[in-house]
Amino acid sequence: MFDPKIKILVVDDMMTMRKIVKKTLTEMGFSVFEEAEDGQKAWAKLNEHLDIGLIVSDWNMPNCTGLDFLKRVRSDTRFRQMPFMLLTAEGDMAQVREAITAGVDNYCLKPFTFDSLKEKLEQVAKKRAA
Amino acid sequence: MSCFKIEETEQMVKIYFPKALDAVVGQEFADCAQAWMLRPAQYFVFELKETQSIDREFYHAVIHFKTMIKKDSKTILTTHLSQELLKQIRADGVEQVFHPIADIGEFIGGKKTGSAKDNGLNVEFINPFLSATVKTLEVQCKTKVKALAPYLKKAVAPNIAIVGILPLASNGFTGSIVLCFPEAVFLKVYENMFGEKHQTISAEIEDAASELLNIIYGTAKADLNTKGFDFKKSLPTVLTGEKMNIRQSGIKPAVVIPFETELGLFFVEIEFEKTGEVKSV
Repeated sequence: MFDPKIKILVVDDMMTMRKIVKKTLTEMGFSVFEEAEDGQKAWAKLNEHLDIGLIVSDWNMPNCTGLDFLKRVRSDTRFRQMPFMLLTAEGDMAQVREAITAGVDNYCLKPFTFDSLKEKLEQVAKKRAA
Repeated sequence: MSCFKIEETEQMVKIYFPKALDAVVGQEFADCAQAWMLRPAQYFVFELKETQSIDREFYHAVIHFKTMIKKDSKTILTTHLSQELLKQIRADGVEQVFHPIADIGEFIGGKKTGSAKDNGLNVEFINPFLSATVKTLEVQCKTKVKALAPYLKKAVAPNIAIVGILPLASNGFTGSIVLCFPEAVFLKVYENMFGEKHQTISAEIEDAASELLNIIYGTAKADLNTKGFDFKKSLPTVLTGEKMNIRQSGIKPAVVIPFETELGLFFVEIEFEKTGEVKSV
């Protein structure tokens, strides 16, 4: 699993979902978070806080979607290895394929439990450690 | 021995009233009401088919009872009130206390008001919304819910304080899905989600209602789109206020799915109109 001291960027246009994600991650032992409401603001945060070590982002957001944000992150050499997980309420396979092609590490379906999010994060950590 | 005969189901306590409602009966009502209030049912149905007179002194007991159950978002409904007594309670300004209705099925998923199927919405369509709502509330909100029988909307659900509305559009269909919560029920859902107690609905609480509707819709949409529908992305609007009523724009009445929680009922209303042929369904 990731180091509990890692700084996590939580991206979602809904305050409630950011709160749910942070609460769940806090229960896993993480405690350092940055937040953003869409992909544009997330990109600014990422450049402002270069010590961010993991991104957990919603998919459907105004201005810049999670997928657009992912593509932007992967297009920058500084963040090419940044662990990136997408959250979505829709398990549309075409969308998932597009995200995988764009370089997402994993995705988690909403609604999610503590266990399901933890399992997905562990998979990301394992993949990045390999 | 009590002069009130009662019948009880999961949703309602039906109380049969005697011929004359006076101060003595009012006292007895007040004594019995202490126990009735503890029942989990959402509705207290006053059956007045035998009742011929109501003294003004009797009102006090009912008003007090109404005040007490309102805290738990529960409601009084009165049936078979004679025209004469209806005129009397109107003149005395207590009609809202008794809440007379013609048909309790209008409120409690009654078969008399028609089924969801009568609206052209079949189980294949409704079930994804039903299961998405149960899953979302149980997984994301740690709130145990039980879906009750869907029915056609003929009247306003009582004490709705927070409403999330999401327009829907798919090939061959247009409509909306509406999530309706009494204040106490949604505040408890929020408490279950975050362990935070709130006394009133705030912007933070409204955001939560909006997000829940997003998740419910997203989950149902994914399921429905595998059956040939083509639901698009949609953004919810949340409204708050006292005793809200959402009137859908369609010609057909909305299908209401009531959900039971430990604190009372909440409702999902689905309204749909066919605008053309649905592809591959």
